Amino acid sequence: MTPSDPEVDALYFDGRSSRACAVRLSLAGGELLLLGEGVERREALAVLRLSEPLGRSPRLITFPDGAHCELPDDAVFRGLLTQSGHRDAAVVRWQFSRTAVLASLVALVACLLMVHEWLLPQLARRLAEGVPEALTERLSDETLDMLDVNVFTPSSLPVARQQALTARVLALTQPDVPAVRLQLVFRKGGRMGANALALPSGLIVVTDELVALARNDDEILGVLAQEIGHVSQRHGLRLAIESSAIGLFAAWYFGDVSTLLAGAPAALSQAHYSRRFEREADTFAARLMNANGLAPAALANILERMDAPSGVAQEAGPGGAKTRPAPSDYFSTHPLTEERIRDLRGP
Amino acid sequence: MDKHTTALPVAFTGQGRDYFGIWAVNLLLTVLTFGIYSAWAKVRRMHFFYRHTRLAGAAFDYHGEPLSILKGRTLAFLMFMGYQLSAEAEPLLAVLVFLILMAVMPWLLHRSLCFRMHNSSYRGLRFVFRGSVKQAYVVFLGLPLLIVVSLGLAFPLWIHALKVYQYGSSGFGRSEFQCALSRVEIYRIYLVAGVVAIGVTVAITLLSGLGIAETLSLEEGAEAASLMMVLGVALVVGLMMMLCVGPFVAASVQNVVWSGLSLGPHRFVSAVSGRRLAFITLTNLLGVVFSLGLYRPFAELRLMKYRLESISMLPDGDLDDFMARTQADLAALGEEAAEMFDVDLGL
Repeated sequence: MTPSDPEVDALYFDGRSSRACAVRLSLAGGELLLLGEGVERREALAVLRLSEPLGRSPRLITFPDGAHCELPDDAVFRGLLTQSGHRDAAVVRWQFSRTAVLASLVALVACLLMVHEWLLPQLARRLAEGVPEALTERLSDETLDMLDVNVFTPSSLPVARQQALTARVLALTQPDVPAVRLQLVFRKGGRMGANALALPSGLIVVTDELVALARNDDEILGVLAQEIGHVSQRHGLRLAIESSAIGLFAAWYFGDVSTLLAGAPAALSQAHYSRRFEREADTFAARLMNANGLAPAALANILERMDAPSGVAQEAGPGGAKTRPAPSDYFSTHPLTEERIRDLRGP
Repeated sequence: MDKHTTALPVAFTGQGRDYFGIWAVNLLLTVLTFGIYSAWAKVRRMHFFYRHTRLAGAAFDYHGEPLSILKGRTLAFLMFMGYQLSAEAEPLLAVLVFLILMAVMPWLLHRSLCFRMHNSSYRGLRFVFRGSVKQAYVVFLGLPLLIVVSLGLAFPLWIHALKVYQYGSSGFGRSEFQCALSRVEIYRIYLVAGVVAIGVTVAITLLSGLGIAETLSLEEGAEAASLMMVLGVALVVGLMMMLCVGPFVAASVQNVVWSGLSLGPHRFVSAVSGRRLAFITLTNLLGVVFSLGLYRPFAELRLMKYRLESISMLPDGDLDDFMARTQADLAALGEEAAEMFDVDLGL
């Protein structure tokens, strides 16, 4: 070694007491030489452990017996490091490179988009397919019980009419195998208005208001075809899995700083998935209707009327016409109805 | 030995710029590895915070191994999934799983405290946690049950026991921490907090109650609108708690705990200001929200820096005379035999 070898001032702690000892470090033939008042150590570089750089904090060199040196992470020390042939781990170099950090952020956004758009939906689909029937039935029954208490009241539709509608729905040929096992129940929709609701087990709730709003049975069948689509493609379960995954991620990402606000991204993404499912269900409904000699335009027609705020409100609201749309319209979970109607009416 | 009573303030030298790089790269790798890298990320993060924390010219150090952390995280994940899945499958089974989790939780928390202290060092000497498993059951199971039974009145009692257990059972090398914390003082803090919390909630509810009544009288059946109002009120109450109560409680508790702490003849003092902490909390919250989370590393660092730098040591003599525990000491504590792992449970 040349006589101009760099020497570094450091504090030495022997690991047995808290006493700090001023020492000088230098390199000599693949070994670290440590010299100070009452201390002299010579160790092979291979057995030493060097802490990673962390900005301005001191670096630590740890000896096999637990003793360590604390030394400033400055130019002199870096010279010594270069001389020793030490090279930081790749991750460490990235952390302090502006380009790498920026690239990480871009890659992170790309990853998250990919997970959100592709991986999570795929995963949710697989998981939803694996959910045992007994569980979907229990979940569906629980949901209906809850809605019966909070939203629905018993249907006032004549039993004969209920049976006729049920018979027509059960007679439909479903385009996909295995066919969904369907069960229809009728309720007065209350604030849910003219609507149909599919639960994962194949239980479909039809509201009296929907039956009243329909100009013919084909329109009701259209809405129910769409609901069968939701059941067949397990949209309810998939949405539940997707939103809980997003919710967990948001809570983790935003951390305890803003637990209160971590719900917002979950809600936005739920609306996004939900719109996607509506489209899938529309496509399914069109296929089912075509297969059964029904015109998908019937679904389009009733959707148009369900979308008109005053129409729904008049059916649903206990207090007559509303002067402005309900807040839920601002966060619509259905894709722009105009677009859906156009697609259903086809070329 | 001459006695000097000059306070030694804790200094924190971490820079937001450096931590941001570490955070961004860690986040990307964690997402790419589906969370597995988070154990390595945690070690880098702990290194950053420990080694930038300086007292009397020397830095703290963290020795946790990523694999031990990964083990703890896997365990926590399995417990969480086990509970979730059993809750979905069979509510009765979930109750059983919940009881089992309750029974093992104190033991896990005890291991986790041991892990954290054992892997922290200063001037080459390790910290140690000597609290008993039996006491862990009192603190993490008995007292929480008492809180439920006493309808929350025992909450300050629990905080007191928790702090005394956490701090008073810790040691540095062969020296031990003493935690002189008065129950009256803790009760006083929570009494004031409780009064403020009730006052804030009542005030906000009254103010918004007028608003809700007005909406209802203007528009009959605006059920959805009033629901939004209720949610809005809950959000505002939550935010006010986070800003008007949380920081003041955190500041007072940190101050009384540290000001009652001693290590041999050395004492500590903490002077966190609740107002300053509330200001940091508010600006951090705004920063995180408006930067879509990018401000998070800066927010975390800012809060940590303020809380750490509020602490000073009041030394009695110099800090060179602490001695490490011998191998025999450690064996007696069972530190060598027991497999240690970290469980993040937000202590």
